[in-house]
Amino acid sequence: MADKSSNFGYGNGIAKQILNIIFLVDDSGSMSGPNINAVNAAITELLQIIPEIEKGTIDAEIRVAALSFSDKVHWIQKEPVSARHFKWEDLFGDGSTNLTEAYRELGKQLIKKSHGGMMPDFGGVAPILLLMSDGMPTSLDWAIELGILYQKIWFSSALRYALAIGACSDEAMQVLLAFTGSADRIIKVFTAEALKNVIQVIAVTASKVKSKSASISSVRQTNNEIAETEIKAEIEKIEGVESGW
Amino acid sequence: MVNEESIQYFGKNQKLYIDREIGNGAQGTVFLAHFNQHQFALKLYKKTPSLTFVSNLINTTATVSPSDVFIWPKQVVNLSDGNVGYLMPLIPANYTPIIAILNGKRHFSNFQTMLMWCINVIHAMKKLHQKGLCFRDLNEGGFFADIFTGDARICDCDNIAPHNVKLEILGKMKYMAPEVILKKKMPNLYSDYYSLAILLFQVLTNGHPMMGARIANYEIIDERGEYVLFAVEPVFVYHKTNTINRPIPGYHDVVIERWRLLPKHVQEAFHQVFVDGIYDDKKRLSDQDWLSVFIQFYNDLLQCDECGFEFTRANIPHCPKCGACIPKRLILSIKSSRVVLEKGKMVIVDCDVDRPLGFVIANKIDPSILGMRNTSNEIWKSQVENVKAKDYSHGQVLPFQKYMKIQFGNQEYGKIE
Amino acid sequence: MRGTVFNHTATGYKHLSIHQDCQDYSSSFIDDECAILIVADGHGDPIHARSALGAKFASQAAYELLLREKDQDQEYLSKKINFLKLKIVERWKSLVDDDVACNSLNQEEKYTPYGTTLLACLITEKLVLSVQIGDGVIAVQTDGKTTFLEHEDSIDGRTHSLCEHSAEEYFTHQLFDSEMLQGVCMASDGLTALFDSEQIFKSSILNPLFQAASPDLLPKYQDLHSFIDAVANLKGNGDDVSIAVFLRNGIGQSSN
Repeated sequence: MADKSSNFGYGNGIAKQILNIIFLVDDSGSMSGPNINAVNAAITELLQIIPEIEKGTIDAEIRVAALSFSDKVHWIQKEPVSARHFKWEDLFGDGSTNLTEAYRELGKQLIKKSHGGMMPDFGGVAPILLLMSDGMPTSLDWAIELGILYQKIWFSSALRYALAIGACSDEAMQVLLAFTGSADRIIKVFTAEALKNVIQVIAVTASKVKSKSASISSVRQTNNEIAETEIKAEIEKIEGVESGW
Repeated sequence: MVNEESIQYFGKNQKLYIDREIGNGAQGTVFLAHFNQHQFALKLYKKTPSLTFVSNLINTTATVSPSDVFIWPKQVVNLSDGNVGYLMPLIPANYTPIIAILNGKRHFSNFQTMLMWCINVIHAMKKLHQKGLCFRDLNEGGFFADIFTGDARICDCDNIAPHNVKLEILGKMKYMAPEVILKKKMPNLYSDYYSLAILLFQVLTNGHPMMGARIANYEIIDERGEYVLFAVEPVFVYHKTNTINRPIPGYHDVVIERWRLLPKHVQEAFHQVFVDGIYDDKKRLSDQDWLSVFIQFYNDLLQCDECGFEFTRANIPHCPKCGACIPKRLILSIKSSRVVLEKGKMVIVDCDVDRPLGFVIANKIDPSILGMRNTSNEIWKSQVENVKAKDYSHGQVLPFQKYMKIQFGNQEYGKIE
Repeated sequence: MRGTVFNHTATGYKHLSIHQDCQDYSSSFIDDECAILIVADGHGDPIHARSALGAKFASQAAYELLLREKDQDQEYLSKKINFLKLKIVERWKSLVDDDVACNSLNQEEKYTPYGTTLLACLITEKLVLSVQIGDGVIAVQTDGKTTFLEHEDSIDGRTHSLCEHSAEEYFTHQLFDSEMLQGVCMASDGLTALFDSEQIFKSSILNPLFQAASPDLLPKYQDLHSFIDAVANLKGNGDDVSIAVFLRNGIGQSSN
């Protein structure tokens, strides 16, 4: 007796656009100890929440990538994968802060797959980039690489946030400002709990907004702008956090 | 954590208990709530809506729901902390969000059931439109299905308003008619027709009618990309003459496969909406037109007993998929409808979805013998040559026989071929 | 008194199906000086086996006592109101006493079997006075706006009742100027239970009622009566359904 469920050709559902969340994690010596442990814990927990967000949308599939940087750079997975398949490797914090190399490596990957990068060939959504650092980069020419990054649409249209972990000097804040383009998207976190919450708020809120088709209202706002407004409201509720500069 | 609020209801202070969160959308958050000894869903808006919006919502609560399919707003509430929202019935637990079906996580029990769901949705929209109302923010988020019966539920009814009324939310770009995205017109009956067509296309083919090869022209599909793809220069993926936007093999495989299997009259219907009806809103199919299209599709559908494949050409002796021999199906001919008799099929005449004549069931001992249970209030009379006429009242099952003539109540005659 | 009154009661399917009497009682009255509306909803369960009579007695008690106050002003009534509530309860109890004596019933807990709610309203050219014990709604149309008079009617989900000890303490009342009054509608909870929401009750029943103040009003009363008869049989909680209405700009000074 045949299985009566129709095989009219289900497939795996609607072909979705890809939304990448890319973490840039400072793995230098100054991060070792509670700071880097907090990052490890926060991202591990986040990976479990992301599949729930995907259940609520047909427009986008969320993929995660993480680049750690100290003396050298290292992609934790070879390419962006779904949260379910992402195996996080704990970081320990050692070495210098080579932000130049991080930006250069990021630039190499913010290109379509067919051209050697990590970005989808079609159906891509502007990614979410989250930079986490506790201090000044030791490489001095990071600004040049950042300038090259800004010329890539994948970077300039991305929703970029920076987390300043612990006390950051004014100079270090300048570096983060250059990355985000706006002081409102720099969040200072002072505790491990706050770090975890902030990462979640940014990733979850931004994914929810950006994984859906643009909504039109009489007030025209881009998805990035909507995400920013919602993130700001949520971050205000978290203790141990200061936003803006 | 249960919050307690006091609401004035028929002059009395009633307690509203706000329980856990059960949903979260762009406009608001939905909570489980207890009020007046019943359980409800309470939607609270994230941003305080305008007076126009609330006023419209109050009008909606004062209007009787056009169909049980809608999860209709019952009561607007103003909470002590200034939050505004409304109470609505809970969606019964046996309903699956259409998002899960479009994501391929859940499936309708068979294609026949999926078509029944589409018919129920179109019928509900028809009743809404007959009241002079339009849905406005039609998108997959508000739709639910019983995957076994094809029953439908539609929520997110707080944007429902009379045609051409100006409210803040205009919709989601993927579903909006071009003239609304371009802000040439306010949402109205014709833009609802367009959005409905988009939803039906997505459910039938698991793809979007305007997203094909052209998406490869964009690095990123952001608001600007969507603006061009959906409003400025929309090109139907199966435009007869303009082939630049065909679905991408390897990426849109499901669309390619499903479109191929759709009957010609269904393909023509989509073509009319998404080509002729792009800018000429009068050319779009109305709810009644869609009902005819889908009921004909539904009536023509049959299933291979060997492999379960469902297809629509009743005279083909072999299954197109597995090649098994298909015994000739009995067809009920009534008025202008010809219904291929398949187990579980509802018999709908004159697009009267509320009052189906009956539904087809299989004999428990020999499933190849089919009959129809009388769900109407009329007495049916069957007539086969050389056999005495028999009566079947409500609830009874009439067994089919070839060449049988049936009188369904006063005016309707059918025959089995 | 300028205006029109009418009332209607229909037996709910819950009672029809067990051949029980209608437990509701409604009445309306109008003369040159005042109008009076009354709705009483007997509890109807086995403990309150004579509540149909209880409702009738409540109506009689309220009518007698409110009629006596038709010439009074707001200031006077605001002082007298608590006394009035007590008098209504006492008059009701005396009517029950007579019935108990006539029928040689059990003397213990003698008021309980007659338990009923009571909504009563006195309308004069100067004022509106409403008193209420137990559930039900009183809606008032003033200057184009419809409001439900505020009321607390239950402890732990059980409605208050005339048969309770110190029942006069559980009455609520409203006393206000009647200058801008356009209409009053009282209904037992059997009627409000038929509607999914307060808004729909307003738009289906109250708005058409209050806005339809014109000479061809009478057919609309009959529509309303048929509607109530029909729905009492089909929907809601099967309870009896009562309505009593006063409309200011009615077709004349009829009384019943």
